[in-house]
Formats: sequence, C-alpha cells, structure tokens
Amino acid sequence: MRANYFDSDKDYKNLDPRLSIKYRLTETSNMKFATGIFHQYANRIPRLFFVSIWTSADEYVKGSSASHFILGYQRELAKNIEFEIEGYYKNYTNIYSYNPTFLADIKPDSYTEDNLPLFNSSRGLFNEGSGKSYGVEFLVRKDVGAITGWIAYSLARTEFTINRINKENPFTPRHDRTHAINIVSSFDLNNIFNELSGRQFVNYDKKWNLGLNFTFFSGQPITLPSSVYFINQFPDWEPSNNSLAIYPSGINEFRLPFYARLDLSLTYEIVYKSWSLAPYLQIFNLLNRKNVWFIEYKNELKNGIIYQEVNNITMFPILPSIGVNVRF
Amino acid sequence: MLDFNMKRTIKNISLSIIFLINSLIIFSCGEGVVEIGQNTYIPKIVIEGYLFPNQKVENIRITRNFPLNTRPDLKSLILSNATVIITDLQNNRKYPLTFNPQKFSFEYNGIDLIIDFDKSYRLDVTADIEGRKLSAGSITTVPKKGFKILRNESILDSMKYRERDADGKVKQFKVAFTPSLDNSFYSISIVALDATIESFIYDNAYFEIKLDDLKKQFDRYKYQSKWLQNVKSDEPKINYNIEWLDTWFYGSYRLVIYAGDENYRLFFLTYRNVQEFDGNFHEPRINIEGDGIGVFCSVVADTAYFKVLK
Repeated sequence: MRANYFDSDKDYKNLDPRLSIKYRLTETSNMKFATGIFHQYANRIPRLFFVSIWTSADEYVKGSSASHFILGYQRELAKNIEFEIEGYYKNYTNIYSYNPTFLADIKPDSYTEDNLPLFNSSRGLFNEGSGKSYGVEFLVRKDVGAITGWIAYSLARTEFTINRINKENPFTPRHDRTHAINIVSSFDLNNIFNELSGRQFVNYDKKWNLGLNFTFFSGQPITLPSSVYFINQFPDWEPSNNSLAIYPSGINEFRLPFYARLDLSLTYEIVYKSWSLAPYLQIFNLLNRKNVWFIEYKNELKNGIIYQEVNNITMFPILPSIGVNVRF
Repeated sequence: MLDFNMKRTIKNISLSIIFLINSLIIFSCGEGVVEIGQNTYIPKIVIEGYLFPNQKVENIRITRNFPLNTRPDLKSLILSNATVIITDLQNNRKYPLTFNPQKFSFEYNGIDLIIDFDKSYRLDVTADIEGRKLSAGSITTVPKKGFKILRNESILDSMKYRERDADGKVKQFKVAFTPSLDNSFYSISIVALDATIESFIYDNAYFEIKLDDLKKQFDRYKYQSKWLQNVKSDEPKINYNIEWLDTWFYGSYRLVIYAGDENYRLFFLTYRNVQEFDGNFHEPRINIEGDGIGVFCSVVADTAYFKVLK
C-alpha cells in the first residue's frame, strides 16, 4: 500500500494498493500475477515540438492514474534458457495531450482595467481523456555462456478517448506499436565453439566479443491529409486563392512504415590483474535503413490546384563509432 | 571427434542463425516511404451556410471535397441534387431549400421562415457522391441582439495612408461597436474594393513587395481577416483599431464585423489549423455531424466603409 500526497495549486492525496504474487508450479516453472493502482503527478504531453514534454498536475491538469493487471508464466526451457510469457491490461484516466486548437479553448482568468483578457493558467491548453492498453509479451533469455542475450516479441494495442479529438471516439495514439521485436545478443567469440561442442568454458585474458542488436517496431499511427475543399473564411468574401482548405484523414488512421535497425559492436577485451581495457567498434544502424521520423509537406497552389510534395524525414543513418572502456 | 548428435545440433543452430541473420538483414535495410494519394481520400459533403437574423435563407453552398493533387471539374463539385432542409427547432417545422442555378447555392423562397435572434435552427443535407449516400447535419443558435457598429464613435470615412496628426503620431481608423450579449467572439473582414496591381501601396511602411510576388499573393493582400475573442460582452462598447498592416491598396474598403455563434467561432479559429509542428495532421473543430465538413452557423453582421487616400 502506498500513499501519495502532491502539493500544487490543488492538493492531491491518493492511495495506491498494489499486489504481486508468484507461485512456483514445478521446479522449472512458475506463474506470477500483479495488480495495482498507480498515480502520477507529472503528466507527459506527447510530441509537442517533435518531442514530448512533462507538466506537473495543477488545478486544470489533474494527476493521472492507471490500474494494471499482469499475468505471467515463466519456464526454464533448457539449461540456462528461460522462457516467459506475460499478458497485461492497463487502463488510464486523466491522460493529456497538447490541444493544437487551444486558441478556441483558452479562457481568460481575469481582465485588466482596459478589459484586456489575462491568461495565467493552463486551462484549455491540453486535451484530457482516458485510455487502455493490452497485449502479450514473449521473452526467451539466455544469461550464461558464450552466447547470451534475449529475444522479445510483444503484440500490443493502445486506445485513447480524449476530448476534442476524433469527435470523442476512441483512436489509436501515435505511440502505439502493434508489433515489437527486440533481439539482443552477445557472442564470446573465444568460447563459442567450446560451448557448441560441449567443451568447458574458458576465461581468457584476451577475448573478442561480438554484439548484435536488432529492433523492429511496426509503424506508428499517423494522420495524413485527405482531401481539399472550397470554403471562405467570411461570407462576404468571393471565391479566391484563399478559398482552398485541406481536410485530414481519420485520426491516426494510417501508419508510418515499420522501424527496423541492426546494430553491431565488436569489442576486444584485455583483462589485467585489477583492471581491464576494452577498445570497441560500434556501428549503429549497420545496414543504413532509412526509418521515417516524420513527414514534411510542401503545398503549392498552382492554377487552383493544391500540389502537395511529400518528403519523408528519416532518422539517423549508419553511425559508426569507436571507443575504449576501462574498468577498475 | 564430435558425435553425430552434436554435429546435427551445430548444423541446426547454424542454419537457424543464418536464417535469423538473413531476416534481420532484409528488415534492416531499405527505406520506409509514405505515399499520399487516392488511398487517403474520403468523400465529404462540404457545407458553407450562414444564417442572418431577419434575412432570407440563401447562399447555402453545398459542394464536395476532392483528392489532393487533382484538378476538379468545378461544376462536378456543386451538389445541386442534394436534399437540403432547414428545421426551425422552436416548432420543428421543416423548410426544404431549392437550388438556385444562378448563384450555385440553395435558398428558401417562402416568406414563412424567419431567422430570429437567440433561436436555434438545424440544417440537414443528404447527397450522393460517387454512388455513396452521404448525410450531414448541424444545429446553430443565432447570437442574441445587441451587436451594432457605433458609427458616431468610430473613425472611418477617409484618411491618407499613414496620415499623421498634429503631434506627428500615425493616425488609425477605428471601429467601435456594442457587443451582443453573451457573445465574446467577433470576426472582422476587411476587403479592398478597389484592389488592383496599380492601386497597391508599393511604398508601404512594412515590406518591399515585388510585382511577381504581388500577382501570386494578390488575394492575401486584398482580403484581410481579424478577430476578437474573449471579449467582455457585458461592456457597453468595444473599440478596435484597424492597423495599417490591414490595408495594402489605395481606395475604398468594406469592413464587416460578424458576431458569430459557437459553430462559426470554432470553424473560423480552426479550419486552417490542421497541421502540427511535426507535419502530422489533426481535425479542425467543426460542429457538423455525419459526413459533412465546413460550417453551418449564424452570424449578426454590420458593415462599414472607409477609404485610404494617396
């Protein structure tokens, strides 16, 4: 049981009961269950100016809360190889997003003597709502030996219902990743054939280590421009070049291409009596995949047609680096 | 010597690793591309309808949207066969509108539909677009009485461009008005009625504008849009100074102030604001149900004129 007290414009007091149970089924397997209520008084506002920002709870932005239900099963598949499957359901309340149409929602807190509005709160700046996420995660892990690492796969779904977005209907938020695969592997090159042939593991003073990490995420949701229409801002305006407007697709109805990246590291470690030296080469995004970060649009009006050029802005290209680790 | 089982195990592991590495390589190279075209297009009924108290219901434009990067046949955009009905929500009487081919818009030609202050009306539209039967509806409530330009307290009439007073201070046109009760949103349309390439103020106080740029952006200079929001509607008088940035031509100007309802306020403030910093789009705040976009609203309007002299 956890008790929270948050002192702000408005005080928040909450109790967070939590329960975690692990039950051993056999010598090599067990089940676990966890549930709990969590409160948080720093709210993440996703993707404001390309990156997320955090804002603390106040009179108009409440602290967010979540209930978690997690059920898992663990089993030792073979010597040093562990398998885990975990299903979860989480629901969230008081989650916030930046209100891109805040101009229509901000209300003054007071007026000056000249009747000019004064704004000194976050009222109207953020959209508020609730959400849920559920999914299942698989993990195979090997912690000991010449080949170590893990392979994880998760299948997940997140759904938000937030005021002023998608006409208050549920939608998939932009951080939703339906499929995620992570492979992290480390190869002790001196011992790899010893292990495969069943020979004893040897601790060498000088050893080569190869690391290969692979990440795959299915594409994030995105809202694209859908169509163009003629409309004037004022009823007394004649049709003109000002009369064209763009209407978007359904909220997050489309997805960016999948994200994938293969990283490699090669380390040569020399172990001395009380310290070790390990020069390394790391190559981030080894195969130079151009993962889309966001889309840039260039609209040009020619002869009454909006021509739209779409540029895919990509993330880091291949990025090699070298370094030395010294461990005492 | 490795025994047979061990060899088989090594072979299986090696094959698995080769398969895995191949898969990783296939996924980890190349380029993700987003394409936009017909796949993103969804047909919509576009409504552009304004109700004015004590005026005939007319100029209700019902059109359709079209995909990006296409040149539409303008006639095909007008949904002249649409069914358009106004319902007076005070008595639920329905008034079917008819299409006026001269004005390319719908209107009600009877004399029994009176648009009144502080009353609510519903618009329903059904139309066939590309074989799909679409429908849209919206309710507007006419702003309350009270809004009016105070001509005697305004400085309109005529003035030389950036004329100065006896103290050397730049003078300004000014409009004063009484607000409509409970209405805190006012939009201001300023249209240069004599706008031509020749009447443009090239030696203006702000930017050097080349002839080619002016030709491209002509309408942006001719039509100026301003608004006041969060106005204290219980005040007896609101003043608004017309900036010289709002007048780019010599000649006459029409200034119309609209006391708009909630539908108009949301449309006005958001219909062009549909793109975020990172390029992602979001919806404008349009109070239309169903398959419609645009605006159905009611406004109280008052018009004044002024003139910028050389």
